[in-house]
Amino acid sequence: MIELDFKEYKVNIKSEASEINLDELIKVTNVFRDDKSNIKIWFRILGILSDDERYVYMSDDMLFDVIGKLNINSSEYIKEVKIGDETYTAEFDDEGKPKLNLFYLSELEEFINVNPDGWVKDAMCLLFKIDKNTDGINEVMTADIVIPYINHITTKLTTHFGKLNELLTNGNKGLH
Amino acid sequence: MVIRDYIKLTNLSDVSIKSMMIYISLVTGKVEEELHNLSIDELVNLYNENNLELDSNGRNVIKIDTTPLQIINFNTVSLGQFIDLEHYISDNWVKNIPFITAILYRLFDKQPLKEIIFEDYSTIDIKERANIFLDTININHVYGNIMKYIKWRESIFSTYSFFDNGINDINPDELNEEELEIYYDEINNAEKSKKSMWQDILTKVSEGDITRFDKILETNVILVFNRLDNMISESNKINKSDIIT
Repeated sequence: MIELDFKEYKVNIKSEASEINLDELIKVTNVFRDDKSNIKIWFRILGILSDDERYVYMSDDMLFDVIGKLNINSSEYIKEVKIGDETYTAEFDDEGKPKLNLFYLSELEEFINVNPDGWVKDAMCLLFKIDKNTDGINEVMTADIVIPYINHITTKLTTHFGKLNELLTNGNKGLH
Repeated sequence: MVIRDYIKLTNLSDVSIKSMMIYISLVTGKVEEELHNLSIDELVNLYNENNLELDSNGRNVIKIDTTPLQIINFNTVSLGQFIDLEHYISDNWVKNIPFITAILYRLFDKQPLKEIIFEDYSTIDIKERANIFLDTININHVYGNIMKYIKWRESIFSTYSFFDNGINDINPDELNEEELEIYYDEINNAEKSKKSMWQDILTKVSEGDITRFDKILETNVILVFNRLDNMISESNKINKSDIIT
């Protein structure tokens, strides 16, 4: 957490992946997806991560200082999460990565197409076999848990999408 | 592959992993779960190796359980049957394959040395039959004959000049702004008149006598269209002679 001291008041900004819940992470990733202007991006992100909207009065120097301190990343796969009394486990492949066979990929592809703004929650629920209506998902699935999974999914889908595209020019024309 | 699966397959519009798995599963008969652990390359190879090829001939006799149904001779179709078929063909014919099949394939009686006698069309519950066909009839057994019917009805439409509104011969790219406006007006008018086309044909052929509608609907479609063609030619002749005198 970063504390900004404006003398009359203080603003707290979440800066570590483990502090950011699933809803906030989804909003942050959607900002990165939709917006191209750098300053605008960072202001919107700080809007999501701060506890007081008066963060907008920060100076340029403060903004760059905060951006430098943000550490929203993670690469370690967490295999088990506990929500309430239940423990949920994701499947892993032989390489120690979350299992993304064609079943998972086809479902994930559909989530992204049908729900581009909220597919990350759908994806995590699928991989950990959690009912989407379970209370506590948002709080337990923090960014440090979710980010490695998002990266793995998007890398895998991007690679496969390239291969699938080859079908448009070669081979079976059954679907198009 | 039963008709339902074929319709499902034609609704797969995108090249997604799920679409490919459904496609392969439908074409090869493999259960989808069997495909889940393939690599993407294996999936692509399997997809490329399995083109869907439909039998362009089809079968003249199909069976529901042990009951045979035979394809009708298209030249014997009545106006009423033709209109019903148009209803199903002009609105996404693939989706309506079970209904089209229910009209084209009929129960029949064939005695030695006698003509085949088809069941009375008016007694058929088309919806009930279509529902049965959906999950029991192999698309390959009927597809060829449906395509033959679609070709046959196209030849009917091109034979009679009263179906030709002339719009299809116009290339809109060659029209100026004013002509384009008239062109789109004509398209709208044609669409409107399409809606009442069958009613208009019945009214014309029956000379406005509503009590004759049922009889005309049961009459062979070619006879009705020939009669209509004659009526239009005669009326044109009278109009021309009126202008001359």
